[in-house]
Amino acid sequence: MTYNGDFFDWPFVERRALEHGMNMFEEVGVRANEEGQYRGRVCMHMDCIYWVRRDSYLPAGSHGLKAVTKAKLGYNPVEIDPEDMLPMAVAKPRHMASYSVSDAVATYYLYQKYVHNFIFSLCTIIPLGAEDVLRKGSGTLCELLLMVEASRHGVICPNKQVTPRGRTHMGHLLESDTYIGGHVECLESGVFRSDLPTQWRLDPSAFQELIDRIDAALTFALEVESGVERAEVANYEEVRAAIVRKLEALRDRPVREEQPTIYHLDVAAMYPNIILTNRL
Amino acid sequence: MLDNKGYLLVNRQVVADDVPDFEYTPKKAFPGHFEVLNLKDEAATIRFFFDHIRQSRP
Repeated sequence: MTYNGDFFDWPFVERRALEHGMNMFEEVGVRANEEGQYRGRVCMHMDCIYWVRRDSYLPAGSHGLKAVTKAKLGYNPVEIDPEDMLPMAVAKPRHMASYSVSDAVATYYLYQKYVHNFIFSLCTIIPLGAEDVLRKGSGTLCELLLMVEASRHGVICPNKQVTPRGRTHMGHLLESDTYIGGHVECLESGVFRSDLPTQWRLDPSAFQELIDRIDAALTFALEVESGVERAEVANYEEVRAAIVRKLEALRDRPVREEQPTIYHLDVAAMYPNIILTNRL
Repeated sequence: MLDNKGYLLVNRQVVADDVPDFEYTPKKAFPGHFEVLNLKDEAATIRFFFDHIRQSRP
């Protein structure tokens, strides 16, 4: 096991070994796959940083080994400025020795205490090897879990969508034409239902902005989105006035208690979020 | 570390003196007893690391 070994330890050892005429893959059967993850041919490489990122619930700013050790193992590891390492190796070799194993000890016990049991337990219900279960996104894991259940109950599932290769945009080859990299954040947690009143504190200036731009917004909705000329709409003024009235009411009384309307826009991320947050 | 036992490979080309075996135990629950292997240079250090993986078959 390593901490960030996909990115640091393995490529470093691989490169230094090559310098001395040794091929790491031939020696120990570990090499990078096309995603830069170092995988073993006959053994596993478990990089604990994936567990920290996906499963530890630690905030994004606390994913360094020092912060994780403090939060999850409950002690402060010894620290040394990397710039001081070489002089110390020369001047105080024994002192340097305990510093240099500090990260190894923290990684080892982090793995033993948290990562190992968690990942291998998941392996009993998700049809993937441990190196994949550790690294795949929660969405993929959920999808596979659903597939297992579907297959068990004889439910037909649609094929996974595959984007055709070689798509172009204005003569340029596209690597991807979807938006990847969105993050879901939980702004507020609680029980939200359309029959339970909720407290609202609105920003009046935002409603004024919407009122000021009402004609442009309606024209866009009609002409661009629905393909109808604005002039053809007989009751335009009437509908416009009704919308403005509602916006003015919200603007003029911004602190209110209302029953919310519940929208769920991103069903694809719903299951991963239930799993990650234990909330719906 | 392997099965609760620690190993430290020392490249003596960089480190000035042989390092004896030692203990680094940050917390009672997390013992760290380290066997130190003082090796003559980087090539010997990497060689030992690869051989050790092959012998211990993790």
